Amino acid sequence: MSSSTPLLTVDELSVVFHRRGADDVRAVDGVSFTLEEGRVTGLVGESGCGKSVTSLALMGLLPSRGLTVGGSARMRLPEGETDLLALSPRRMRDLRGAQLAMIFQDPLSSLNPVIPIGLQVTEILRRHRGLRGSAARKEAADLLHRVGIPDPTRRLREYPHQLSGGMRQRALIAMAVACRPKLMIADEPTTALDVTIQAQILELLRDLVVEEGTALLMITHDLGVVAGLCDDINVLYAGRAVEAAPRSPLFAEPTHPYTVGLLGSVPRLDAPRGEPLTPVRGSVNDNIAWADGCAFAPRCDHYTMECLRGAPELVHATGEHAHRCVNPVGHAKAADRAVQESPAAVGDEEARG
Amino acid sequence: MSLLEIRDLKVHFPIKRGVVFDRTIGHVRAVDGVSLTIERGQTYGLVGESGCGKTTLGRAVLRLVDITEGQVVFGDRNLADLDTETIRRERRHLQMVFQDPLGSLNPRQNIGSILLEGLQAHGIGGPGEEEDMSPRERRARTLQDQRARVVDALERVGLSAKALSRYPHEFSGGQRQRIGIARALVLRPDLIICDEPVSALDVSIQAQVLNLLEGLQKELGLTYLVIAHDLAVVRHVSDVVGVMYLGSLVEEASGDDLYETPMHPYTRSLMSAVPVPDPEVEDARERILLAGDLPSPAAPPPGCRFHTRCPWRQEERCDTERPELRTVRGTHKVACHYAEQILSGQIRPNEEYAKRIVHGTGTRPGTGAGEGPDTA
Repeated sequence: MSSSTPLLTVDELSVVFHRRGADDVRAVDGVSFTLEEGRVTGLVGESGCGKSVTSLALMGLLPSRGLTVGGSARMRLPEGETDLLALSPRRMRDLRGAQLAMIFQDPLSSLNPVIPIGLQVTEILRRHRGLRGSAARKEAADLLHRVGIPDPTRRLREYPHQLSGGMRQRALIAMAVACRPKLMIADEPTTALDVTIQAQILELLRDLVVEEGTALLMITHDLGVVAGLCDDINVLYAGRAVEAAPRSPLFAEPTHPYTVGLLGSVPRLDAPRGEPLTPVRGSVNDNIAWADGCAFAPRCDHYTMECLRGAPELVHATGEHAHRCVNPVGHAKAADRAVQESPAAVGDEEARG
Repeated sequence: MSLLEIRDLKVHFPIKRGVVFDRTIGHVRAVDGVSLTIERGQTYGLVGESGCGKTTLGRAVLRLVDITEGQVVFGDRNLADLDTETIRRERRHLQMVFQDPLGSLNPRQNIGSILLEGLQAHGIGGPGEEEDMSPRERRARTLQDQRARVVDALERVGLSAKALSRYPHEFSGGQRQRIGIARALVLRPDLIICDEPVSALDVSIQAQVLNLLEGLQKELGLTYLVIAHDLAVVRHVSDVVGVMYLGSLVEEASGDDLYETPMHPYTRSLMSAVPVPDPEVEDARERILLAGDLPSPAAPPPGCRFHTRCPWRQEERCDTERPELRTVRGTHKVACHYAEQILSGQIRPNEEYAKRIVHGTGTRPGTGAGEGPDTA
């Protein structure tokens, strides 16, 4: 990592949803990471781990009421360092699209179905770059061409339903890169796409990062995508990062039991038939609150009594490799590997429904 | 004898237009001439991208969609010819696990009632005809027996009898899929068709369900037809893998064989697109990026269906003559005119036809003979 200040420093970001007559939901519970130009940072986790809420908070897209956003996200902008979370909605609107851009998961529902693609792409050019008329149309056609849409002038007149899924996602990426943003957030950009189209889109994102020096925050549940694209990876669980490392140490020597479990859950194309999967047992419903200890403890094979004495801290094991675990996998191997019975057996899961 | 044999199956959906008279102006050729055989106790994996007709094929076997042409031979009967009532009875031997676990469970039925329904519809369980008892006693004994079967199925999928009185919304996604599996299992079918059984689930839950399916197969000797878009999942569970593209099978081989030597250009590009959760493999991986999207199945391209996107396309035959699925070696079948030449490296991919071919840092440029795209 460079010694200069990173492009974006997210520090102890938290998002708490308040509910009437019920406990607060701590969707994001103290997530910290940095983004740098020309690098891809990955947020990995399963549904409900807070990865999408993190991105919405950074983009200022969360509703203004009913929740509390804490922590800070300082971004280096031309006019100086600014905390994205403290900006006024008006100022945020100026930044969104120009300095920050987002690519959403579902390309069909993120495009307006009754407005032609052309108008949706030129809207951002009008708003942020002041382009009008034929200049805007020409720039829009260039953008579509750049993201690999054939025959862009015809496509500009078409509506979203006339485009295929891969092309819609390309159009969204074209809109995201229209103003050459410094920071792009891609929230599961390929989940709705077929694998051959996914390969095309990932290649396009990689090119954008390399050529433009954009900082990309890649949010995904797919460890394969992460392995191919991301430089630094944060594994989230129940709203907190449980492991953070550059990609090669993370995949070569995962230390947090959850990361190990995730890696053991994915069937690999290059593994022979019938090689057993070693999934994490139970489901997210088994979690305990971070305040009581490690949220993952009930599903963990390396669980000890120590895990229930308050939330573990994120500790740096080696250099850039950090984990939030009192009994990480590497160390447990050295000690005796007696697997303790965890407090919640899988069978009891349904009792809590 | 094989358990299920599909011969030249075609499912065409008419495209209609007109207000008063519905004129048929064309057909969507969802499944267009597929033949395959599933042996007892085996798992057949059907893989392909959306729109390739894999789901329609699975539904056609159960006659959930009308078969346009072809035969589905199950045991000694041709399911394609049976009338509605006979096929309904026959379905106790063929069950399906659907993709969307919540959408396929009635939200107003509790789990007990969902699982009992199949047994009652097919009149399974209870004392035999020859036993002499009053109708009332017979009903009571039958219900008791059916309940026992339901509880047994629930326990096999890792749930308990406590679930019986609960409703689908009270369960998590993984548990709902387990209920879907229990519903298929309770009838003790010979064949279970799993249509995207894990694609709606989280990664760690996916693995649990895959392990469950495999455990059940070992215990009960089930036969599966697994339909999925995820090549890694299909390879993990299947003995034989069939790759579909635009309504037809392009390649069929044992899972290991298909992975070691993919012969059809589509299979090669598909495999090269699957990310592997290992940075070293990822960096070394050669990626063949296909140009464009899947053509419309309403107007499939002439000749080889894949020739519009194929990086190995040749001047002759590819765009005029439709290749048959032919045995190349052993059990490996492929539908490509030039499979052998591509495999031996005589025909090299044309960079103009592919969108791009990304050579991994660890492999030689160009694909050598017989090496998989993921040479680690």
